[in-house]
Amino acid sequence: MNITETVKSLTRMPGISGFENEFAQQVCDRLKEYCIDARITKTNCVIGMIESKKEGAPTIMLEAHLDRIGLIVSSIDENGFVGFRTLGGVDERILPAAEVEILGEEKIFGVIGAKPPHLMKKNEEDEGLKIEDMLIDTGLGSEAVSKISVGDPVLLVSNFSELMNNRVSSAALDNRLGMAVIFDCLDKIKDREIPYNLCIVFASGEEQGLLGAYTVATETECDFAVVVDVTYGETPDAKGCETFPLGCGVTICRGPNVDFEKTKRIIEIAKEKGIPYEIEVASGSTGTNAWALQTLGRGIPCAVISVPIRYMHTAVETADICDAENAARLIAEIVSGGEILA
Amino acid sequence: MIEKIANAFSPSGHEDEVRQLLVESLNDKFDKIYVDSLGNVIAKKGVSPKLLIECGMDSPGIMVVDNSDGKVWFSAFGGLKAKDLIGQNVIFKNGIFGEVKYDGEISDDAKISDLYIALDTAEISVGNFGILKSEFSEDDDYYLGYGLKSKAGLLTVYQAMLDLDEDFAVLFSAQKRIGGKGIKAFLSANNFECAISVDGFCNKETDGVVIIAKDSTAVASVTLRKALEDIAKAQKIDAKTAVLDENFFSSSFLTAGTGVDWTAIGVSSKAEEDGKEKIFKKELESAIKLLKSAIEKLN
Repeated sequence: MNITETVKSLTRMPGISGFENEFAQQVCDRLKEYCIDARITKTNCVIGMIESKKEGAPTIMLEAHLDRIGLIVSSIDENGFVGFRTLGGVDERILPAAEVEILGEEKIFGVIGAKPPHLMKKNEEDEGLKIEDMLIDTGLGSEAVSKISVGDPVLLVSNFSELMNNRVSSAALDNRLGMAVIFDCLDKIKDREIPYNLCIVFASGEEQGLLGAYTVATETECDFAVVVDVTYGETPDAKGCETFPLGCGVTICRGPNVDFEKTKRIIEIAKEKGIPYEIEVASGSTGTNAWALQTLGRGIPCAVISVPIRYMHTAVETADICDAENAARLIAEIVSGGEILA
Repeated sequence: MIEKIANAFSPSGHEDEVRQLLVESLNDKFDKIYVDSLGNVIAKKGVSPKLLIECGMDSPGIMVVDNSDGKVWFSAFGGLKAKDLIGQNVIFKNGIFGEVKYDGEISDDAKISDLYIALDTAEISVGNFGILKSEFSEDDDYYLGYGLKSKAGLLTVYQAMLDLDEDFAVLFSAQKRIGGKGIKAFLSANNFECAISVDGFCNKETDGVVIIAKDSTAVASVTLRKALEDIAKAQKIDAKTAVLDENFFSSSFLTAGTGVDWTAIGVSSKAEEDGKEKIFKKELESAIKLLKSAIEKLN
């Protein structure tokens, strides 16, 4: 499997948080290549089981959220300008000059305009634009009211770009990269004897407060979950212990939100197999679906493995594809080895 | 009954007056009515209804934290802000009420911790709960009172559900204003296919009766929201779709069990200059009609 092509194809699909139904179907169809019984839950999570041949095998969940950030139409004025609110933590600073697609009854292309700097007052320049002051211009006039509806989802348009040195850039690398890692892992292990049942979960609604993950725990019975997500990539203006350089490996999270012993074993596996990694410390919530999974039902012990990306929650999220490949390798080793769960 | 509900003393966690009103007045109108351990009132028609209607029973309020220096100092919950309270009368369960005072210049910077109530402190203890004194009144076109926004859902649901024969359940939720606690507790032990909340809102950009596409937290069920839009259109009910910044506690429904399809009907309230909240009868009637039609059509 070419993981770059997988990421590219996944980032082209909408699946905006709260509007995942069509994307969930596409993901489910793809997952059926590995799990015949893959299904979509009421909350648009995709779940598939791969049974181990080993009798009484414990079950490991491999989870990545499938939704992406976006916008939602909140108003349409008499001149056709469209007001909006965010779905998930969109970086509002990058919205002016963004290209968008309104995904209502028909797909309508638009741009988010901004007042020219020449016309801005001093305080407007200092404070920056607020979301309630920004509008989408589709070119439509008063007829916009009949073509666009309050509640329509809005996609931030971006092109998948391959940069130098194995770097890729696109919107929605959060978390199509995590999904691609799981698909690549499934491809790597498809001919192996796996000592665990695998429960593959692509959860909806993560960007709106881990919504889908909360419902997954009642749909599955798992003994351990590996949550795959993205984390902060290092840039010249974002350095320090919370950021991680691109191309230096995956991050393995440590902290109260993850299982201490199993995470320790994952670190040992990474060392044994020569898979580059960094330790990410989360003193509270990891900000991932592990926060929901850890405390639901009987409680699922979790590990969190992340791929660093730069410019998170913008349309130009940037990652090193080698980090994603290494994440897939590491997870394949975790589920193949038989040592993570007795 | 509307006046009784509006005037009832029901800060979060102390909804006894509303609870008593509901149980007494609904007892012979439903197949089953009961109060759960958290204080929610649940009314059911049919054996295992699939549709849940929800509204809050509680009001935002204040809680006395100190009265040792001759003044009654308090904290607030349920979204009350300092500027909403200054100059208003707060009433306690024992009927004592007093005006909220602030010694500084009134501004957005005022903090709850700087406000106090001018009262004889001997009659109030630390830990006492209070709410804004309702001072309910009505005119041909509207209802008016303090804290009426938090009762808009209850007023709508109460009037909509009385003469319906369909199978449905109603959750009058306790402690809604402090994180949707009653909803979460109830749904942890009860399954429904879909749920419609009804609540008041106060928004500069939107008014009237609205069908929620998204609240401050999450996107409502697109299918259920569109069903309500179709019902409103077919019944010629004046209701529009809205994306609101208010919290309708969507996540309490969307994360319950395997997930409950959810949307909400919002009834706008207008804040008057003196802080009273006005609800137009015409809008309340539209909300009632929409809810009744939804219960009939969604069964």
